[in-house]
Amino acid sequence: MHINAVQMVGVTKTFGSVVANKDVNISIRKGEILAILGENGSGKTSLMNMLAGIYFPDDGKIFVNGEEAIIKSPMDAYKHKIGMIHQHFKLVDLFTAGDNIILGEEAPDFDIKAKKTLLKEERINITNNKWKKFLIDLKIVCLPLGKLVAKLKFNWLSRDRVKVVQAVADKYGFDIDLNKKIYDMSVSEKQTVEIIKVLYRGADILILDEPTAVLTPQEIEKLFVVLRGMRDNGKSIIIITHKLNEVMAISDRVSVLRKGELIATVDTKDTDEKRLTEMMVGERIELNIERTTPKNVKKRLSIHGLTCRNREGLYALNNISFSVNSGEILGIAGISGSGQRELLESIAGLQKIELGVIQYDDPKTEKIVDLRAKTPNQIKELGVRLSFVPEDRLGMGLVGNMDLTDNMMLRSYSKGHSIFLDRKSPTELAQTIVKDLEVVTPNMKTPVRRLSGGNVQKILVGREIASAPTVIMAAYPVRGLDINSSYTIYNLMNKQKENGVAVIFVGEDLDVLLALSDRIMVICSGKVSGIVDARNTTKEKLGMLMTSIPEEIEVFSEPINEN
Amino acid sequence: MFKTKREPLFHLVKRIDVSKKYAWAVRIGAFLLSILVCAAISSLLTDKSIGFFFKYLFNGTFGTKRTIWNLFHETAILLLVSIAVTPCFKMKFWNIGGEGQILMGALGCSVALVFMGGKSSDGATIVVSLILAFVFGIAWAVIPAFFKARWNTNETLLTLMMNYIAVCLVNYFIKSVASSSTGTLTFKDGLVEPIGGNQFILFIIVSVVLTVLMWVYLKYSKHGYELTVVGESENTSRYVGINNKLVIIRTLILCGALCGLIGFLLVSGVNHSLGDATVEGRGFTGLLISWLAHFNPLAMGLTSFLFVFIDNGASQVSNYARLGASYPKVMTGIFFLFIIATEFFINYKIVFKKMKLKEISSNGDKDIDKEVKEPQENDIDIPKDDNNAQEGITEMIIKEKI
Repeated sequence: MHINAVQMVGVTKTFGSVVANKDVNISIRKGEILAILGENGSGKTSLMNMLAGIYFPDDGKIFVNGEEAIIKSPMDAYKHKIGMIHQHFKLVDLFTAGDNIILGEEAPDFDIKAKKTLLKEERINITNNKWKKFLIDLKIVCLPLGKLVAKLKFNWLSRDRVKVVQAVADKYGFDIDLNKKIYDMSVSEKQTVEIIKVLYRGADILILDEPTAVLTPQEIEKLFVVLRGMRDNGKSIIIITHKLNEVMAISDRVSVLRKGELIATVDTKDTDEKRLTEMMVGERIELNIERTTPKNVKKRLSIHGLTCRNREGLYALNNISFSVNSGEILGIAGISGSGQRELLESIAGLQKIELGVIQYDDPKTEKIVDLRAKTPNQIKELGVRLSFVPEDRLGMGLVGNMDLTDNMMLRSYSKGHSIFLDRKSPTELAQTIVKDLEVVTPNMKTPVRRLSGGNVQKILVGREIASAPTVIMAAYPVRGLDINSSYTIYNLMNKQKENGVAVIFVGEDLDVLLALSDRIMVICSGKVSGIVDARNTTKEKLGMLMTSIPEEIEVFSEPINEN
Repeated sequence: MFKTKREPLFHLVKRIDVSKKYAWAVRIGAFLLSILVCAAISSLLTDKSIGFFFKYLFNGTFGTKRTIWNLFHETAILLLVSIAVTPCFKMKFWNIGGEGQILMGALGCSVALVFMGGKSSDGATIVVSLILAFVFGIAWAVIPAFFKARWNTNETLLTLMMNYIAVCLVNYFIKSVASSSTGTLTFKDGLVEPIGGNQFILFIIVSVVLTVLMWVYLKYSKHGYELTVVGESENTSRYVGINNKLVIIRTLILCGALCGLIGFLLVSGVNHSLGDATVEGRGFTGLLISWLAHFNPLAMGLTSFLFVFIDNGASQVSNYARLGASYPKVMTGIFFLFIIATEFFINYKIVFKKMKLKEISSNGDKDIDKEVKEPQENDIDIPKDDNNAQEGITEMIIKEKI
């Protein structure tokens, strides 16, 4: 029989009328990796938040090493040796890695007696050096002062703790410079800091919330090696994810959650991806993206030498050139923050451009329109039907506190000369979108921020498609969406492509990009590191291009069909 | 050593779907409770019965015809002030300079009255003083708006500081026009005549009309929609092509114009005088009213009525019980405290330990994983200090807010 490091029995948590977890029984053994699998909104994170002391369960019990534990705060969780690495890192940018790790830790008790005996022993050993003896005497006299300083938590006394941190890092084979500032770090380095922080606090049970979402394939492999090493050291690791291939690669057992309830816990070696999907989604679904060959390919947008700076004055985009054609999907791959946002915002007229040309080939008039340095309104007035699904849905694409109708109106409210709003056609549009895209909403008056991520995205994409665009730009349109909603979005994109729309799809899941796009442009720190044929490339190659720019940049272009 | 394990006595849970009925029930309950607390404090202070408090509270508000008119008149002034600052707040432009903007409107009106009053016809004087009030009020609102739009300065600080400049300007004006005056200027000519001999009715009509108009403006006009979008998210408004700078300046022009109008009405219609205390702090009270009513013009009517009710009633109580001039302020302070505290109860639910136990027992038996031997609850003793519990709760609030 195994010893359970953690056992959650009958745990229930509700938020208002929403049941996040219902009567969940879950256990993790010592020295194993347990994957918690589930779609978004299935309650994985809230379940783990209860273990980490962020939420308090409404009902149910938690046992740590066989003893009941009441975990009211993250401090309590640390006392029970549970540490969580959140999806969004909680680090202070201006501090060094070492400072971040020791931040908030209780200073160890300053034991005067122990230090005194230690110093006295040292004094006995010294026989002939008066000066050294005097120094030690002085130190003994000053010990109460040290106690006071420690009590006041002067941090410089705890500087030597960084050495202990370094020892922890070395033990698990982390390669990290603890004196580096967080703002200088890449995402994977920040994650490493978070992991070391948890280990340094003595956690035996580590919870990782979607740790691979922000990493490249190479970095994921590196992380998995570290995790396996920790498991072999006797740590218990819980990894929250919705990516099946990772579950198969790393975990010993899998617990599947659906709609807040535990469906089953199975040994990874006894299952496969297909069965896990069925458990996760609850029904047999076809997960195929039907990719058609592009028809009627004509140049729609061409971009030359696009360069712009971000708010800090650094180059966000550096001499980017590419073209987008009608009837094809151009995927854009890259580590997040490599300039994807700035690229799309430049085209949409939201970003100041330093250099470069953005040209639009109008399919109606067959004229070339210059889109450079135009505001969104000017672009609209030029008759360019450009739709943009931004990355930050509620922060940019929609207004969270407004209802469906008012959000539909965002694009169309200014039409006409009346000073009053026309709510009739937006209401109709909202109803159509709710019906066609199967948006789940209590009623039409619910503020959109209350809806789940998938539904919010359907509303946004629905509104953008409703304006019959000729170019659609979508930034991470399936981020945080469950499988079903994701496939709805993929299908919508494919349908637009078949209708002759030029689609730009910025994605993070390379498998999806490979299956959906016709061409993939890879950008690496603001530069194009290659444009490849999506049908003849591999994930590994994309991963390489994402992290480094090759000497010879490959540019694949779709054969343009001039008929 | 047999101690039962300590669970937190209570923890807080955020309410997700708050029904409007519930929210209003809590608010009205809080109002009634605040009156009761006021009554209790008063009877403790005066050795008089609680009935005494209620008698003069109603006496001071609904006692005579005059007090009733006064109640509605004061309500109308306060309502108009909160209406004036509401579009800025809806845009999340924290304009706390309503006081100064109104005072500038009053100054504008006074300038016209000093130089034209008695010299030209009353009609012309009224028109010119109204125009000047508008210009002065708008100027005081647009300056911070321009700075915000152009250089993204902090509007809260700027509008606050401009209040003091307005006070100084008014004092300077009074000194330079009538150097021997006691700090107020009084006017006799070129004033707005009371409608039907009733000096209260003008303000009431203007404020009812403007309240309805503002409600329509915010809810049904394109401008109202634009300023809401700008307030909710500047990125979204940029994304859909709204000119943020234009909207900010346009809204503040509206706000300044309304404040100027209030200044004009106060000087020309009500006080017939100008001093640095003409506005009586209503600029600040008005923005509290606007906040508490969640920027809904119709709800502001009710909130300002309740405020004036307590204020006027408490003045009467303090007159009869000789409690001093600060007494009404204490009472309105209690009222605000209660109303603000309701927001917590509307947004959070407190779940007590006992309630939880009841729920569990009603749920009946639970299937407990057979793999674990259920540990004896009684023999584990984990001391936990209260500080820790506090920490947990605050942590939870912070996390859930996010």
